[in-house]
Amino acid sequence: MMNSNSRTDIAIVAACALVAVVAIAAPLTVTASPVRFVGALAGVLLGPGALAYRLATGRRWSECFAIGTPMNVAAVMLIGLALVDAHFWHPTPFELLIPLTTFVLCGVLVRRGMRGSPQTEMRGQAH
Amino acid sequence: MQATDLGEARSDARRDRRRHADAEPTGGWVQLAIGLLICVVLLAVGLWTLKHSPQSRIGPYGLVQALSRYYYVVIVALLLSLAWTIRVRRFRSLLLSAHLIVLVILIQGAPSVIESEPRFATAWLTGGFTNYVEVTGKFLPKIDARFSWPSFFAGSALLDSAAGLKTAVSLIRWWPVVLNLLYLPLIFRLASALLRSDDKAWIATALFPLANWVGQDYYSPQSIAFLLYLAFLYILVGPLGTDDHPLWHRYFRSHGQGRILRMGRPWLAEDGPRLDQQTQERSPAIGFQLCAVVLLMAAMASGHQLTPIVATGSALVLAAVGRTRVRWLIVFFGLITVGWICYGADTFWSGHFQLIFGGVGSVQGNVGNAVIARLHGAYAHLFVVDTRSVMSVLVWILALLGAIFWRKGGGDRRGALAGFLLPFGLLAGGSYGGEAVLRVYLFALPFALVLIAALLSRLRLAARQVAAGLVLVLLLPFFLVSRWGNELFELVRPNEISGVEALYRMAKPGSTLIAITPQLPWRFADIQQFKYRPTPLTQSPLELILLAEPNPKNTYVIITTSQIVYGWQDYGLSRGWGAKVESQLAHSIYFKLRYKNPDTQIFQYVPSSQRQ
Repeated sequence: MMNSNSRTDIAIVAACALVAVVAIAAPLTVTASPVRFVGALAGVLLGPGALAYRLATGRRWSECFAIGTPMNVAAVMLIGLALVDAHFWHPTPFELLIPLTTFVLCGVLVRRGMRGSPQTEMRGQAH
Repeated sequence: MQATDLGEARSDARRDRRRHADAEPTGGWVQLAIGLLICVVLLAVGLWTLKHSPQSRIGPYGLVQALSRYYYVVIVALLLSLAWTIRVRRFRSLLLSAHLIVLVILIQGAPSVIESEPRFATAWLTGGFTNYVEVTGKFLPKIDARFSWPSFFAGSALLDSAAGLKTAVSLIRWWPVVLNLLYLPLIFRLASALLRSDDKAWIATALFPLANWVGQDYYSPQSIAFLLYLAFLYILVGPLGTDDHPLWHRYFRSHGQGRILRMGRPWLAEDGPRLDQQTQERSPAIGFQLCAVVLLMAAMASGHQLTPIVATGSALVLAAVGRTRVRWLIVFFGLITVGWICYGADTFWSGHFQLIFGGVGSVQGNVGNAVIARLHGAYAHLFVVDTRSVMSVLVWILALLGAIFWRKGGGDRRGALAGFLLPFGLLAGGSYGGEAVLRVYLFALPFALVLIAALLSRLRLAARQVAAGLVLVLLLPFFLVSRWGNELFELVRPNEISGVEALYRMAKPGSTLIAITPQLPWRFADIQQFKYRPTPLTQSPLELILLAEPNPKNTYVIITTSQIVYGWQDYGLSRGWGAKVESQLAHSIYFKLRYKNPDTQIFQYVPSSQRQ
């Protein structure tokens, strides 16, 4: 039976996955639009940092997002720096790294939730 | 064992809260509905009052002169509602979060609503740097020192590209609001980890938007670096925190000086319940958190000059006082910081040793540069500077009182005090362009708020609410004057942007562009095409001629209202000094007027061959 924690998990993971899809699809379909802007910014806020933090530590979602957002920002800064320093400034494929990672982590979280791993149980306690 | 005690205490608190909530099953929902309704109404009315606060009324005392009187009513009502919400039992986090979001939008976003262009010239410049990276995929470390710490520009360029933005200038207007909203959860987490209580942590969090007057949250590398710094600190004292004895404890004990330890027991003893060590036994969590702090440090080290140094120092001090389990990794943090300065920022430091190390050890000189050197200008500007000083000292005094009167068992006094005091060490490191005290205030602020929250938490719940409300209301006028007091020259007028765009249209690549003071929103496009000569202050046409001479063919001087107001307010020049310079240039054979609008005049240097 689904409890409120797993419902929260599913809602958050679904939101992250949706944002990731928007962030991947928008640059490929339109050149400039509010959807693309929102997708990019939300992709950083609901990006892979929070999901990875949740997977690794099992802490509350609020803490995961508080830490995950700066981690996403740091990752974007370092990816950008690496591209410029490597004289390979082709941002389009690399800007998809963040939403793609989000998407993969969403899948991992869902799988782990379905298996009912100890970490999932721990997440329930953490709420 | 003590971790278990804390866990039980928290479970008891939760049970109590649920019991109260169950006793009033509908009361909680009613409170939630009322609280959210208050927030929505105050946000709507607040935005309406801001929309009806005319930009033209911004005066020498800044934004306060333009704000509608109803705006103050809205903010005071919001602050009182916020203080009332502290004792709400159900949905407290949701209600407090809603109040804080509205507060940040209304006070940090006030100029974004009132002013017709995004504010602050330096933010436009940073946007220009980002645009350059986005278009060319290169940095320009020889043009500006900030390009020696370029990861912010690279990351922002990547994000702009993903978002499909034509220019990073689009981000400037709401950047401070977004950044302050991102700071708040981390302030709460940090305070919660140090105070070991969510109740007290909310007080610290509520104080932050009104105590953060420094204005380093504009579109800039330091705004993001501060976000990373907060996350870094939280991981150190939260998930990777510990309750060890401080280093000196071991030293005194090993040298048979137990008497000293007994004398200092009130300060050296454990201050409260131990940390929740939920993740401490789980190696994947620890490994991930260590990777996270390294990632944050790498981004800070390559993104901003000062923040990684303070972050490394904080880690060192927190380890020394036994508050973080991260020990040897601190050496790695230091190596990342120093390594970037040596290799990544070599263009900056080679030839600038005096600039970097000139102020080391000279506390008096650095404080003088940061405080006394700012005490000049028009009366209104001095009033703003004085208000900032009073507000800073007030916050520091309250923080020290919080440390002195810390309730036993009230959390981690040692960690909070160490984190609060460490940034003052910056004063011995250099003047940082006269901004050292601003940076000290900013970096010490999260810990200062923790100490103030501890002080207020000594009171009983009702008295605590009243005290929190009073402190919030007391901070409001200080904040509005300190934060927005310089708005008359920090705002960007539409005519100035039109003027700068006209300048870019008329100047050929390679031209020299001169500003008589640095308060000018330019360099937001094509930064590599022109030779810029921003000067601290130039009043005499002779100086302008000397600056123009090396490039006799195409040199332009731009004079705008913001520059003139800056000279009047910040340097204490007469109100008409700009008009005098404009008149001298207009009547000089060396310059001719090429462009004019109500806020901008552009003069072109006339080479000797073309003079009549």
